[in-house]
Amino acid sequence: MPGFGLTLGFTLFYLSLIVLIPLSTIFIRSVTLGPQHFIDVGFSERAIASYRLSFGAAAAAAAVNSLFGLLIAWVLVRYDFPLKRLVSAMVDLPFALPTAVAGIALTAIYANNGWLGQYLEPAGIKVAYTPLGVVVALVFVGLPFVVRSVEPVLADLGHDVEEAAASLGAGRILTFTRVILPAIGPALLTGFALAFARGVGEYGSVIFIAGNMPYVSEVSPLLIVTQLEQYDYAGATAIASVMLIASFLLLLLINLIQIWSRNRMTA
Amino acid sequence: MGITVSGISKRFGGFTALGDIDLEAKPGEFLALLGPSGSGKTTLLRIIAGLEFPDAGTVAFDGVDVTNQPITDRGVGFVFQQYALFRHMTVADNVAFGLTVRKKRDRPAKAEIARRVEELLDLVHLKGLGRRYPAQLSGGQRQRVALARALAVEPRILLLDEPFGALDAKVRKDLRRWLRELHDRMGLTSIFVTHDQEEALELADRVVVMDHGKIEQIATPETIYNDPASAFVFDFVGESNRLPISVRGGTAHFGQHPLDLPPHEAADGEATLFFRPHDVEIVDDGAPALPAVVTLARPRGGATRIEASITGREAPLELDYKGDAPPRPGDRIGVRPLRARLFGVQ
Amino acid sequence: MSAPLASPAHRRATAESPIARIVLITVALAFLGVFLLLPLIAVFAEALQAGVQPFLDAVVEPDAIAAITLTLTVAAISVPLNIVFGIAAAWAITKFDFRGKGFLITLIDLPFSVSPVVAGLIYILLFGANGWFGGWLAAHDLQIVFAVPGIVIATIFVTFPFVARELIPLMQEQGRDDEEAALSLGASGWQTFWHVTLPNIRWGLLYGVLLCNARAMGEFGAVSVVSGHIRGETNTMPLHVEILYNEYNFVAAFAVASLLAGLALVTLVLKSVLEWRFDYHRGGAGH
Repeated sequence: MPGFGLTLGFTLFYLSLIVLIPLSTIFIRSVTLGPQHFIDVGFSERAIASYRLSFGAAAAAAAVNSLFGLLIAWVLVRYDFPLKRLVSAMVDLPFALPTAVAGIALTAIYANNGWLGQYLEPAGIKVAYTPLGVVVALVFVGLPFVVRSVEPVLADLGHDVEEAAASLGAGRILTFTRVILPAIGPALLTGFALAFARGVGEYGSVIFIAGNMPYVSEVSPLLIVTQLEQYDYAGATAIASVMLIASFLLLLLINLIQIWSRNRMTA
Repeated sequence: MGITVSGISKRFGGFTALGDIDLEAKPGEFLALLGPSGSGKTTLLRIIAGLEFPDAGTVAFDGVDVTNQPITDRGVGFVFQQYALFRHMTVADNVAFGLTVRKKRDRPAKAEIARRVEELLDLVHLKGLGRRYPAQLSGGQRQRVALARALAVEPRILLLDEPFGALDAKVRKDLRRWLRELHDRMGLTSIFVTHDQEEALELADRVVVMDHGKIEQIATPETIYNDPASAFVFDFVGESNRLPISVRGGTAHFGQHPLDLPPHEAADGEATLFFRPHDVEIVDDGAPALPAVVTLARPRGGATRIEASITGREAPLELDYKGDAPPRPGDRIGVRPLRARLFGVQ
Repeated sequence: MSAPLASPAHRRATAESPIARIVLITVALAFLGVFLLLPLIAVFAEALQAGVQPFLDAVVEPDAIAAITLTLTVAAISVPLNIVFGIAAAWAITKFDFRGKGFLITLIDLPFSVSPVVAGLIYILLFGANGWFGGWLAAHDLQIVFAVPGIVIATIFVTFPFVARELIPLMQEQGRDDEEAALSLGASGWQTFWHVTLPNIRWGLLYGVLLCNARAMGEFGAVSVVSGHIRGETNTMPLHVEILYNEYNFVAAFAVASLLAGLALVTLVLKSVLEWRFDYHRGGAGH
């Protein structure tokens, strides 16, 4: 078949030019900082506070999304209800809606005079301009990752497996925890990891609702931007490389989950 | 444990899957539900299991009405067509499942469960494979895991949905014989669904032939084969030839040819004649028999399979000739059914 | 003797009771309503809260027009480049066997796991005043960051995998038979591609382009870092929204945002049409 040299050559050239060489600058720059300087700026008190928020909020949001994403996938696969196709299409909204638009919309809803904020704040739940706001924004951007990871696996899970569990005396709840959940576990974990990875790096939807108080509600990507604006390239680079390494580890984890589940479930 | 099914009906939307079914399986009996797809046999099995619920009628086990009991409480063993093994569990965990999901006070101790699993794996000839995953087994092995899993809860009734459907011919035959032994040894009452008549006739004590949601005949394999109760059963079970004929004055005629048939009690009118390929006598042309022309003759088993065309009928007759001088293609012969059945045209 | 008619609860042994079903559906829909639908409605409601006229004014104002033009321009450059790349990568990966293929696929997916802000930062480090090529670019009076080229490159980075990751599984599944048949009949490589491969992959390609375009027009983080925020010059629509919002010009901010939300809805509709009409199913989670 023709075209191997041309297509692979172009692929590698374009990949190097756009992705690999630019990404390597982060690591080369980080190395030239020297270990002491790198740790000073990459793990400053403010940076650590931002990691705590970015990773913590992303984990919390991914957990919320795992629960509700599974529920939504279940409802979409198992039940019929009016406007189901419309609902299914809407699940992808966060993939299609620009993050900045989501950010200002969520802020408008949860501000103290917003549609929900006006009821939540008197009840003592402050969402906008707090870490909770960050979680809400990350729930928005992460939901489709879980739903779309779980949905096909749930749909493939044969009805007969559940009937088999029932024939052996397991009720619905035992069937769910012992048979269904383990079967879709790898997909759910993948969805969690994808939503988590996306949440850690998220910027657009978060900055409007977060309040951006250093040490309190400042996410890592925002800290990078702030330091760039102050021409603190060393700080920005160090934080960026910490985040990159975290993302790569997540990517590795996702791949390991998939290899592990593939090896176990197929011959 | 005996199974009594009375007056079961089931509709899916506008489609009648089962219409007023009565059936009884005696304790220790091995029944086959035989029929083409869409005959309702699987639906009937699922209703007996408690996987579906009938629109009308009752299911009773040893006289106790279980119609509204879900499968979870019926204590039947069910083997699924595609085995339905839990892919994320090892073979041992699959087999143990029914015991480990029991309520705490009914659940055997861990060591006891492990012992029972070993015993069952031994029983189904899978000793040492307990730590494998289903994906690492062959089709026949998976089938046996499914069986061991169903037997782990010590059911008195075993229900199997096309248990050999997904296996190749050789494995099928071995498993069949082995399943029958198992059934006898464990004193089970078993019902299995199949569309393979050979399987039903070889394995079952009695065969239930179904078509279009009705039972056509319930009888021993011998009776089903030798004395089919309806045209459908004759056609569906075993090889057969069918001829449209008319009965005039007590004598059957094919076209203008009177036929010398064994005694029958058909009323005058249109009818269909059924006979098996080996239940014929081939005589010289000119005798009072069906005139036919041999189109094909080839050895088969201990006989010669002959295909012969007959005027006014498109499909050739299939006949077995057991003598030493088989007719050759082109020969004119007379065909005289020795055993035949007449069924009126419905 | 006749049993009671089966209640709906008894239709299947493994179905939840109707009450459980209704509760589950209600909770799922409520969650989607609050977290997805409400923000979408809020965009349009806020944009139109002062009536239609302020909305229109905000959309036709010169800076808004400039932002719209720039967004369309950036998408018009970056999407075709990523289409060419996506097709080339999918062709190389699915039509040939070579070592390191899995690793190459992972590398192609890499931009999805990089924070958009980091994506912007790397180009600052390369092309900014203090960057590797900063001095050389300044000497030749060329500007990449804080100018349109930087925005285009950053957009290409964040939308890099969309087309390729849509085509690779699709072409893998379709195999090589069709192409080999065409070649054996004397077609050239290009003819084979145009007449055999392209018609086979057109829906998948369209699907990838749709998602690629949506992200290209909506990208915020990466573009924000490299743009320099020069009004009327390096402001894309999402950046324009941010500026208006930070100036407390909420109606105008939501007016421009509603255009982007409209784009998102069109994307979702077309995507759904592809999935239903042409029965184009995609596997796994997208981005």
